Formats: sequence, structure tokens, C-alpha cells
Amino acid sequence: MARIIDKMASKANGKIGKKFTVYQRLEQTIIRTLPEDFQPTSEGALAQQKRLSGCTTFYKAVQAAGLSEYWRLVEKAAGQTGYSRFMSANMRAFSAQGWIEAPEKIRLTERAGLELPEAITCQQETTAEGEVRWAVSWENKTGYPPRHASDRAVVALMRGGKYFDVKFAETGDARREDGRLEFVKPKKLDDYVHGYLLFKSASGNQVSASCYLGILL
Amino acid sequence: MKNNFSKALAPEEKEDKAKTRQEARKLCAVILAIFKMPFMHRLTQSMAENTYVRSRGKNIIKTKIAENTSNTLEQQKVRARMKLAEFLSRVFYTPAQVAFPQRRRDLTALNACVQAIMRAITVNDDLEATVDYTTMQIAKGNLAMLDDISITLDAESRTFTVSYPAGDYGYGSEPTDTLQIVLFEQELMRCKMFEAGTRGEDGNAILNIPTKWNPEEVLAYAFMLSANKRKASNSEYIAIS
Repeated sequence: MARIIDKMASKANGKIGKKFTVYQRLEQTIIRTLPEDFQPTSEGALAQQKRLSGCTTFYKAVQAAGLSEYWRLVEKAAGQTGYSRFMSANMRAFSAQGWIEAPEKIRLTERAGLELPEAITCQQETTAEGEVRWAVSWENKTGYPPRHASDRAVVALMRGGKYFDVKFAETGDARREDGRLEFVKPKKLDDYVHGYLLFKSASGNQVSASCYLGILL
Repeated sequence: MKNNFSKALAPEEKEDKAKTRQEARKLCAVILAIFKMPFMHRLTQSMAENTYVRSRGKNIIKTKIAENTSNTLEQQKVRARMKLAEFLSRVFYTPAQVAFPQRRRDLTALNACVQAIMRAITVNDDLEATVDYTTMQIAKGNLAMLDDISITLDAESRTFTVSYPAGDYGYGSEPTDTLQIVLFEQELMRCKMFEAGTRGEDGNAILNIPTKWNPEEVLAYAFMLSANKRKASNSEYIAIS
């Protein structure tokens, strides 16, 4: 691979014969040779292709859940988009098959203006009527960076494995200042056993990183 | 120009010479080689004693043979399978155009259909080819297939009802994927393709068949197609109840 530093080639893009290709990346003109022979794809390369494919579909699921916008607000390296930032944060959660094998490594959101509280725990409780509910509690110890008491707490649920859809639990109007929220998983979400906690600002413009709550069986 | 220098041969001598030439040709090995040339990188057809073909992106040179002696039983069976597979690929022409979007670039849709169908054809020693329609594939790809698709026949109204539960995002699965149903009348050898709905919603579609079709002879296949038609799933045979 070589760079072309020449004003005449500053917008060049395409193939030269069957030997070279020229393209633009990060405002530089790059020239490289094309491979001559077809090499069979190695197992590692195939596995990475499946991870990429799975993570791309997962991004679409997160987009459908309305969380992809926050990835554009996250701090990124030069040339990165919200999508590429999402992919680099979440690819490691996927197996060689393209399924989610490590749900604890999933990042539904990354810090974009808000911090998570401290000492987040999640416990199963049984109500007096015999209903199973989940109680998530946290502590608001530090006041810096600034945290707003009115930040809304959101619990997202996922199935994991080959299923990438994201559903939200009914948490009422739980706020950061409450220090606790409770929710009941409806029957149709019985299979959604992986829980994630995140906080959104009251205006909806900022979000905290997501935190894995564990397996909610 | 008349050749005044050749000796006129007697008929028996001519015959002997021809036989010798034929046998010599049969004994010659067929030379097969892959070659690369920068200025003639897509040669086809023949020149002198050589034939040029392109296969899987490579240039191949072969010497010509005098006669084709390849006719063992195994070879005849393969030819019989190929013949039936080619015929069936034309019966399934319409679904084949969309059902193999992820095929190799040098294959046409019909080539890919023939490859998929060949696996379901068996040929006995009498060269009779039979197709196992329940294992025959008419679509190939890596999209995930929907679970629990059911098709029921209403013989009075001659309609088929397709129903399935909704799916969601997953590996090889998006709510915008469409379910394609192919109905195949095995007596008339005709088929018809229908779009029965999308993966993201519970499906309940009613399909009508042409008047000439016998509903009892209809078989059903289902496969998924992505919204942009660039991905498909493997097809599945659905038993009609």
C-alpha cells in the first residue's frame, strides 16, 4: 500500500488495468496492488465475516429500538461514524457463528453526556400476590461529573444467542434520584433474560453507558 | 492446387491409414493446462488443435480429441441427472431468477438452480431418473428461515391459506424480509410464485391457483428474500394439510 501525494491525483478513485486500485481514505489517496489469484478464505476470516454480519444486523435492531442516534454523540476517533463506533464496541460479544455469545459485553449505549450511578444491583423479589418482579437499585454517591436527579432510568431486555431484538421493560417514571426501580416481565418477554440499565436525560439528548444487569430468569 | 507428387493409394491402404491415424489420436493424452497471458486474458473457442475455455475465472487450454469415448454407466447416470435437472430448472424459471442472489458470479440463476436441484435426483442402473420433491431445493442463501409455516388447502374454493408467526431481528433475520411461496403442480409441471408477507408480522395469506391446476397435485416450497433482494434463505418443502 502506498500514498500518492500529488494534487493531480487528489480525487482519483478506481482501478488501473487489472493491477492497481486507487481510493480515498481519511483525505489521503491510497494506491495498492490487486490480488492475482483467488485465495480460499481462512477459517478465521470466515468467522470474522459472520461476526460482522451479525453485528450489522444487531445495529439495525438497536436502530429500531431508537438507541442508534446516541452513538453519533459519543466521542469517536477521526474518520469514525456512530455505526463504526458501535461495531468496534460490540463485535467482541459475537461468536464465530455470528451469534451473541457474551451478552455481558454488549453495549447498547456508550457514555454521551451522562454517567452511571454507583453500586448498581439487581435482585428478584416476590410480591405478596406471588408475582415475580425485579428490583434494580443504585447509589448516587458522587456529584461530579454533574448528574441530574431527573435523568430517567431505562431497562432494556434481550434474548441473546441468534436473537438480536431489543425490548424495553415497563419501569414507570423511575428517575435517578429515586435510587431504585421495579419492573415485572410480562409473559411475552419470558425469553428475554438479559437485562441492561441505562439513563437518559429528561430532554432525551444525552445518555449514559449501558450496564449489564445479569440473567433475569 | 492438384498435388502431382502423392502416390495414389489403394482403397484398403487408405482404410488402414485412417484406422492408424484414429488409434494414434485415441492414445494421445488430453493435455490440460491453465495459462495466464496479459494481453489475451479471456480466450474462448478453438484454434488449430487447441480449445480455449474459461472456468471459474481461469483460462484453460485443452487439446482436441477425435471422438468422445466417455460413456461409462456412471457418466450416463450423471448425464441423465443433468438432463432432468435442466428441465426442472426451466419449470422453476421464475423463482430461480430471485432465489439465488448469493451465487458465484460466474453462474447464471439457472446454473445455480440446476446445481441445487441435482442433489435431489437419483438415477438407477436403467437410467431412470427420479426426483425426491421433499428434499429438492429451489433457493439457496444464508438468511434464516421462518419457523412454523403452515399451508392448508380449501378444496372447494381451490385456495391455499398460508399462516406463520412473526419473527424479529436476529442472525440472518430482519423484520423486512419477505416470505416467498412457490406452488408447483407436478402433473402439468408448472409453478407459480407468491409473496405471502413479511417476517415482522404474523402472516395469513390466501393464494389462488389457475383453473387448470389439480389442487391435489400441488406441492409447496417456501423461502425468505431480503427487502433489497440481495439475500435469500434455503428453501423448505412445506407439507400441505
